[in-house]
Amino acid sequence: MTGFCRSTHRSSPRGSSPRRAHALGTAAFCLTAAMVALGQPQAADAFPEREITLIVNYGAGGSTDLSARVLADAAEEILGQPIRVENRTGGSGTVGPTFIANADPDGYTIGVASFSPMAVTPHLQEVPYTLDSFAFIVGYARYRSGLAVSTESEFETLEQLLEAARSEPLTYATTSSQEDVLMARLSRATGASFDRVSYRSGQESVTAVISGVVDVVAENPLNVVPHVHNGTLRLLASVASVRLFEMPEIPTLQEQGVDVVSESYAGLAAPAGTPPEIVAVLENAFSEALNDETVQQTMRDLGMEPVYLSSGDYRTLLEEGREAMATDLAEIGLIDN
Amino acid sequence: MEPVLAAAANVFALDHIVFLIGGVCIGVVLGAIPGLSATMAIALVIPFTLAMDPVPALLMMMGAYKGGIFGGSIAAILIKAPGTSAAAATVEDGHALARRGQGLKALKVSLFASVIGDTFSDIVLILTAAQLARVALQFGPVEYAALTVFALTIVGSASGKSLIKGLVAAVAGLSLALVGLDPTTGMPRLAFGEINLYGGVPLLALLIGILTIAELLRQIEARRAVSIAHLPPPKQPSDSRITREDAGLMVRPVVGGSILGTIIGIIPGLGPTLGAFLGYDAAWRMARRPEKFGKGSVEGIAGAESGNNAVSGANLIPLLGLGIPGDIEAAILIGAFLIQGLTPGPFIFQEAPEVVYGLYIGLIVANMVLLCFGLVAIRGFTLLAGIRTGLLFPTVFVLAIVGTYSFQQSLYDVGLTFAFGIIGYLMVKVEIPRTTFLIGFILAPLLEDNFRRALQISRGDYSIFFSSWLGNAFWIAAIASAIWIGWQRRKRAAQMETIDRQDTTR
Repeated sequence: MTGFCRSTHRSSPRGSSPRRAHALGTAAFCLTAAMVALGQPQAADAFPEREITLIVNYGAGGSTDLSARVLADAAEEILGQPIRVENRTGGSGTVGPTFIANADPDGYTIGVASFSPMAVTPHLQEVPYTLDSFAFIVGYARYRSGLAVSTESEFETLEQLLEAARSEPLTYATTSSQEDVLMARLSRATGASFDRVSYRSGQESVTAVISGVVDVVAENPLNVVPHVHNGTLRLLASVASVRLFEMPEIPTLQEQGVDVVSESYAGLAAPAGTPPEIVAVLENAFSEALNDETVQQTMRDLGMEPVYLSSGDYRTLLEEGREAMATDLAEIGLIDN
Repeated sequence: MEPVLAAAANVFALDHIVFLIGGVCIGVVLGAIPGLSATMAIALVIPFTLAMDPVPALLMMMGAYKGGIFGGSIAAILIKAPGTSAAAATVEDGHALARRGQGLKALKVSLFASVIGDTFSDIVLILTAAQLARVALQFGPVEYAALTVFALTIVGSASGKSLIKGLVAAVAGLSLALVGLDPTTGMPRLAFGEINLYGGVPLLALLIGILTIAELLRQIEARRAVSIAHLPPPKQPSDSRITREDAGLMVRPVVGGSILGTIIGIIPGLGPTLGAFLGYDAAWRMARRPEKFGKGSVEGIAGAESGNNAVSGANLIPLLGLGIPGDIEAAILIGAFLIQGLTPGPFIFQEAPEVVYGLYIGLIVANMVLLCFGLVAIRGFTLLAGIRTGLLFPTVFVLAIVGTYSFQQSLYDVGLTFAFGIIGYLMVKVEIPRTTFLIGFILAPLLEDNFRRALQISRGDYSIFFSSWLGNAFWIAAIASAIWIGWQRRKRAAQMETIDRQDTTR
């Protein structure tokens, strides 16, 4: 875990561009810009003067929620103001970002804008926001997954699995279109073929593989690794760009000669139009909070890998991810292109 | 023997027993408030448990869960507002008794049935966790689909007077559950572009609207003088006791409910609400007083309440045996194990026997605590019955709205609750049973998910549904159950009619 540093990076000009690109929006933008120019120095110096609300787009008790809460706890001390975490769930994680996008752009309402509702779901559902609706603050964690089969299956290695899937399609358990994209990329890269079977939660899909209903699953290490220790699952590869820190002896797909990567990120955003100075204050506070050893350990315990991405880098990552997802989703026939 | 003694010492350590009792108390009180569920009770307890040892942490959560499921029946009986969805099966009969001044009797029946169901389930867990856990792995999409169809036959017993109306309501419930994201493609379906509906219709808003708000609307309509107490006082001592006769009536449904609830608990993903409905159904089928069902049946309450509580212990069977959570509550418990550095699964019996034994002993102790605290709590809660309606109902209204809102901080949900309140009121007026509507809504995702999953696996070949012996057994059971219900309904129709003519309390 190197690469943690306090960033002095200012959010890019695009980060504060207007939420909606029509005439009215432009007018509003000019007005906002004028106000920003007039009143900003004091505002940024004094920020934050009161409680900040942090919106979490998934339910209380999950990995995203708990990691955001420890991060908020640490940032609270740095900012000197309380941060209240609020869960706004639903719509596959898009309700939270919608709420953020529509909040007052004053830095007092921020929230989790993770990879999936930013780069994946907008291709599948109508969502009332775009990447331009946000001023991104920081990217703080990587969600990874591991490709696993049942120990009762005949697949001892990744190659054996792929070989079998070349002669006859195997089934995989999936909970999101991101996993579908992963398996599509894997099929494309190796000539194997996999049929999807959909489940509602990672735990359900893992259970389906253990009981032999489905052949293979790519899931969060939190759901996979305990079963590997119990002797019911076999981990064949990490599908992220790095090995899983829980089981560092298992190589990544790339290390095994398959050029496929699938990973996802969690990050924070404020509404577009939030003054860049205020975004910078938040970015500094949260990246410092991320340096805290307890925060990092808690995230690891929750199956997330703490990773620091500056506001600009996080935005770039989302833009590129969104593009790549559009191509892949069209290819597997989930969306028209 | 040594780990057992060490575990017992651990459970009975003063601070640990305090946490356990605290968990049960929090569960009962939260469960009793409409809109706050047993799951929420656990979630609320989690922060307290993070710094604790594994055993007290798990016991506090399990205590809150058990207490929460029982607590749900308190509000169901006294104010016709189920505190949790698991209490939905208790509403009609429990409240009917309360309206006759027998609220305390109904609560005691519920409490004893709950504690017995819980204890039975815990004993099954203790004796057979390692062996029975494998059962959970027998269930694939085909088996779940067939089981759900079998479970849907309980519509027959929950339909009340008209089977047709009951079926219509059940189909409406199944259809309403189609709103939201398509479970296989993740695309919005029947949501009409309304982002708040992408997650589907929240069960809580539906439950509170259709039962609680509808009831409040009926009370407004009744236009009673504000000084009148909500419920009549008991007329004779036997109104507040479980008489010898009641105890006799309770035996069969409690046995049936406990066994069914335990089976439901072992199979992952089903949960206490289904346990309650199946328990109620079993009670109806074996009833000695079938005419009382829906109008204040001690047997019905006993079946439903032993059925939902019996799910709680058995839920831990796949959790401890395989590391697979039985339902949302058990999934939260997995988190608690992991935070404590323990991996639930077959090896935990060797790795941390003192935790497993501590959990076992603690579960039994928690049942005793639930019994004692429950007896005190229901006396306290029955004081509610003496409160003037003019004060009680506004309070219930506020709690119901706060409960709905706090579920996901959504005013949209509150709006939905009002809409369902009106629908529920109309359903009462035209005598369409709300219970079967709820059964349909609750079972729909289970049916659809597994039906479509099976077809994904077979690539659209329908013969997969008859490819497993367990699945076939459920199909046969479903057909047998439907025939049996048809026969019983016909047999009882005559009886019911005569009773209805005499029965004016409605």
